[in-house]
Amino acid sequence: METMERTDTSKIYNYHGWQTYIDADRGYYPYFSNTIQERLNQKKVNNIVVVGEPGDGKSYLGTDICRIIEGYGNFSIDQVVFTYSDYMDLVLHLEPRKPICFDEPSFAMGKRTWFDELQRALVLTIESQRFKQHPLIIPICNADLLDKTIRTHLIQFKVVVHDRGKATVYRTHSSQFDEKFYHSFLCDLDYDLFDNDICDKDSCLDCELLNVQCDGDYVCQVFRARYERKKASVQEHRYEQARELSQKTEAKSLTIEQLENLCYSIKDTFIIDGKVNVNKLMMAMQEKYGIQLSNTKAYNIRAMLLEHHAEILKAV
Amino acid sequence: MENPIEKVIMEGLGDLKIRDKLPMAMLLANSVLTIQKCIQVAQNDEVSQREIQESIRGMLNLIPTAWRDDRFNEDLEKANTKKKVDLRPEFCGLRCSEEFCKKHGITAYVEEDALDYFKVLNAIMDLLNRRGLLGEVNRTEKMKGRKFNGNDGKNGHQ
Repeated sequence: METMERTDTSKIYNYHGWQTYIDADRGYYPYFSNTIQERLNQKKVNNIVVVGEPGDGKSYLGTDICRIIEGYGNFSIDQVVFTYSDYMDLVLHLEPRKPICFDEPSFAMGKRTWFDELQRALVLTIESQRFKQHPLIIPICNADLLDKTIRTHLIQFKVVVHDRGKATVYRTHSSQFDEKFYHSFLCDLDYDLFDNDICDKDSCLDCELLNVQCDGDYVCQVFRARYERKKASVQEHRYEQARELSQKTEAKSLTIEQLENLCYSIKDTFIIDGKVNVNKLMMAMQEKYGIQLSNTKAYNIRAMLLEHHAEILKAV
Repeated sequence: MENPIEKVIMEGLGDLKIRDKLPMAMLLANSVLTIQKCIQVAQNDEVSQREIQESIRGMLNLIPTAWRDDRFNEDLEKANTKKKVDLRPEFCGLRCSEEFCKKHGITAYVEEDALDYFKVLNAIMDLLNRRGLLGEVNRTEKMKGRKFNGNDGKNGHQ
């Protein structure tokens, strides 16, 4: 019996400063990155949508694609944006050929706002963005969340994420003759965890080093940690907005008796010289509970306070 | 019994028009089938070893020069072997001893160049595989996620 020939023919090559496998037998080659690079050189537009279930690593994959396009160490966390204003800022001021990762655009704001205003603005921007030569990567749960014009006419590549680091790339075409829309297979992506030589934790969320600071700087400067910190700050802002919205919604459903009780608990703020100052009452309710009272309601509450709690005025 | 694959191939070849390109896949498949037939026959009859060699040689000649890469040429060189031919004279069905041949100035053995035809066949199949003719290779972009240093890996290239 003859011995088998060497079958492990995978070689590691340098691709923009990153280690990449090339193996003709196994079909390993940087097909996708090369295609993007070629299109960049030809000054063609590169809009890529990365879709997949939450937690599958869309955002990491999106930033990985950006980091490969730009080369090792050149992609900045500032090029990852979550809001339309930040995105427009980058489009205006970023150097040409630098990629932008617009992470979960629907996440940054309420779905209704997103659909109403932002999508229209984004259609206009993406259409004209090619003059700025910025490859745009949009990680999003489902392409259907994007405007139909964007997903059918303005997206060139769709990356469907199956698992962390595993995805399939499709080149998208829309027919010029009818309303059909085609996806042709380009290649599979198999990315190991990026920066795994520095840190091999696949998630920063349970890492105690994530928010540890020393002399005002964060200790962990791994790219995905910086990404998580930036996302968390946007998320906090979003939660604040959501809280305010929920309070407003709840305030609308409060009865006049409940509002009266709330006002009574902060009576010291609006009783001046033994009188109920309606303006101060409205301001106090806004500041303390985030409840915006109309004039009529505020006067009604004042009347009820005088009726039910006459003793407070006497005491003052 | 007629082989259904062979039937398809022969019908395909028969339908060729002058404007058509030669269907290389069919020609190669046909020669693979010929080799298989020869191997089956060789199990019963030693004479047809020559047929195996001829069929593999025929397949080798079907491979265009433009297709032949460095690795294929290396594999062919490896298939070249030395064959020891016994030239000792026979008496009454018995070969003379080496001492006898030495004493009488008779060359006992010579080495001849010979091809290991199964290695040649293997080299051809490897070549076809490298050219993506045997099965579709799943295109994959595989990244290690690490910075490239000049001496990374045993096969690192800058």
